[in-house]
Amino acid sequence: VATSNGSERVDEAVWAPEHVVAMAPDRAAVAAARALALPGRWSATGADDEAVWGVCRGSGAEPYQVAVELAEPAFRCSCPSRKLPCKHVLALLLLWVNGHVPALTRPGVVANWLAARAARAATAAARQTTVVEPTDAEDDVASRRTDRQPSTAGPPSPAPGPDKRALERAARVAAGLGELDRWVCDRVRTGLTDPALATYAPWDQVAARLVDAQAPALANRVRRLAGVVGTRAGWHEHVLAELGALHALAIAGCHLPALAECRPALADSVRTAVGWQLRQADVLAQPPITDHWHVVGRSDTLEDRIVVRRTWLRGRSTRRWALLLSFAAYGQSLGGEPEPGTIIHADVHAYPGAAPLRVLLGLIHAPATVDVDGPPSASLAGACDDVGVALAAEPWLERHPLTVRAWPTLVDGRWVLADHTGSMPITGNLDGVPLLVACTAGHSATISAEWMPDGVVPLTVHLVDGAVDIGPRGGWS
Amino acid sequence: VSASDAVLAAAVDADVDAFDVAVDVEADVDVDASVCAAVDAQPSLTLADHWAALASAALLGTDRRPAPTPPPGALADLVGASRPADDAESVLVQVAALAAARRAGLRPAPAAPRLASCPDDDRPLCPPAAGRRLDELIEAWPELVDEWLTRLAAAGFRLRPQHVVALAIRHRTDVARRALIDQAAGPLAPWLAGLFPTQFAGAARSRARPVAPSNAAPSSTAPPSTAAAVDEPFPLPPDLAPLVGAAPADVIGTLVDGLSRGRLANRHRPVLVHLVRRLDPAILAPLAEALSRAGTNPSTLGLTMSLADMARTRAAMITELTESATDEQNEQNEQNGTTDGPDAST
Repeated sequence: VATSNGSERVDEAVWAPEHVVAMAPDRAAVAAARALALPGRWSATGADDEAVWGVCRGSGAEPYQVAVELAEPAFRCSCPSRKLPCKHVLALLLLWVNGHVPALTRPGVVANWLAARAARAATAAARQTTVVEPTDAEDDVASRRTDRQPSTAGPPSPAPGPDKRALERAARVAAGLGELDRWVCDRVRTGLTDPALATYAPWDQVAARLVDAQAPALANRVRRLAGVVGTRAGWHEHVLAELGALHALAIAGCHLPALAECRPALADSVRTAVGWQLRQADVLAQPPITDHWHVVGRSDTLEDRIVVRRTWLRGRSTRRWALLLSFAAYGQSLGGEPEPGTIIHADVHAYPGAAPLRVLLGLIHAPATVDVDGPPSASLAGACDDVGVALAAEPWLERHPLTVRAWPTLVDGRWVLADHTGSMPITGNLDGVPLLVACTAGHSATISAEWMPDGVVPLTVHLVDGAVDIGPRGGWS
Repeated sequence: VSASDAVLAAAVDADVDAFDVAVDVEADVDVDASVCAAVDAQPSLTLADHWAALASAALLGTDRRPAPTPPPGALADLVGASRPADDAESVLVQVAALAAARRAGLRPAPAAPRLASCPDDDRPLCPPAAGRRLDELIEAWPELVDEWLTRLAAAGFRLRPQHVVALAIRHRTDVARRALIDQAAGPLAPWLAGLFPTQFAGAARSRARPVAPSNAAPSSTAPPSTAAAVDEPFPLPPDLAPLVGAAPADVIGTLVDGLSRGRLANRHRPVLVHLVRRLDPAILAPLAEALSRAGTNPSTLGLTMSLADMARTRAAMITELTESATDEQNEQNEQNGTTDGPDAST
């Protein structure tokens, strides 16, 4: 298809229509953008290496000024929509990837915007060692929400007297954990058959107290548990095991200074499990782990009205597992994370812990490209060993990734993954199973999944001609 | 040694002493050694039994049923060292340790045989660009999906598995369309329908119909008429009906003029969509170009742009499927050529 205006694509390798679609906050925005992504609707469009810009005739009297900074990416649009990115931004990008935007020198208004962004970034970098990440200016909302904790407790403030504040916070957390432990003990004292447990209210109250005590991760854990009560045979054993984990975390969390002395890595794991937030700058100060990272899968869950997306990575040479977490509130877009089935040459920086999984992306040496060879796979027994080692280091771990060469099959009406070493039940909502079975056609395939205490959740089927993402999608899609 | 003892032994191999530090930082218990000792000393008492005793105490509540005494060894030492205030805490300490050991000692369940596998389909997989187009059609122009399916099967390709699942579930009650999907899907469709009768409801009826002999060498059967989607009778107002067979310039002129003067408006949207769906493919690209530059009437701008998008999408979809079918044939010819080559030269 010939490009209009005789233009050339600016950055053909990186951007494709599906990337644009993946950035959209919801399907309605894509549909709206599609209708706007036509040259007749736009004027003064242009693009260079760093940005795309244009003016869109909308329904209103005033045309909208739209600009996109491509590296981050960051968006700017003069429309009143609260969606991020809005349909005009998406339409401009669609127009551009379809070759309808000419390569031009950027106009002053765009140049100023980019300069202001660069200046802010420089200031932020200069302050990074002392301050939490800066918030985005109002006119310039960056799309990248990757790894920003959405907790109601909020990040620790960079106010003066950090020692005093830290001590105050530690005391608050310890009080919350003490309260949690008393509640957990009472549950065992009065018994799990207590009818009050079958309602959400008592769990919610405990969770709310934990949020107040600045232990948001434990609060989410308690909320998840409320959803398990009475839902399936054997629920009480699951709940009991979790109460045991909560007890262990509460006690360990109350003795953090002592624990930090004899087992510093374990103390870090406990902090993370409780919900202490590390400053991104501190994580990025950890030594980088450079590798080609296979993007093996992603799974979304809805937690307390926030979509939590896990993107699992596997290092090609280090063989390390790594987890990128991202969050989105309603109507915001996830996206910006690398897609399953790609491989990305990058530094990652691990959050400290005994079995460190979670990382932040650091320097990207080469953008994500199609992962032709696919990730390395293990047998189910080998994967169990892998997960077992991580669980021995952090017994309260709830998920761990695995990539196996296995086939999906039925045992007594239940779907399992099986190979010559055994089988593991498939758990979660089983919506992805027909697709998993269709992709394998009954044969062995390389499958990435998340281990959970009651089974595995398939995330990706790595086929010869590409990966098929079958992981659970959260929330509002 | 029972299965759960083996589980524990595996956990001990994996260095499980992390959990006792977590349970009580002041406890200094060498779990590795003493758990092994416990297993050795009391082979009759399995950890599964003890777990069941703990679960039953927790279910009824320690107010009514006291905490079970841990078997001598690591668990007992752990309970002793953590000095639980009452039975409830004793149960929790034991539960935390045992649950951790059981999870860390994770082993696969017994192996399970493969499903009876799906019969082979020797047609090549739908090319990637056409597959992405189908995703776009499903989202934006479902009106074009039937034509896409017909053209795909005619070009000798099979659907990607993800599209088989998405389309079959979406149209599970639409028997006529299921026949179209099954034809493009090949033997995968009835195979899946047998495994997932609930999700693919309606498949049984579509299989009962004498259509789409999908697993009978689909690539060798004569392709269905590509005109099928276009030949159906369809209601157009008298003033638009002549456009179907009209010269390109007339079609484009009438539409652009009607839309910019507002004579054609949103109330005509369904018929106009049907018209674009039926137009001669050769008109589509120039029509899209003309429409996307013609939007000057604010009241019909959205409709105009939307029709331009549809025309552009349909033109692209036809090009992709036609070109990739030709590429595929060329590739096969080339392959034949290379295999013939050495013979010819020697």
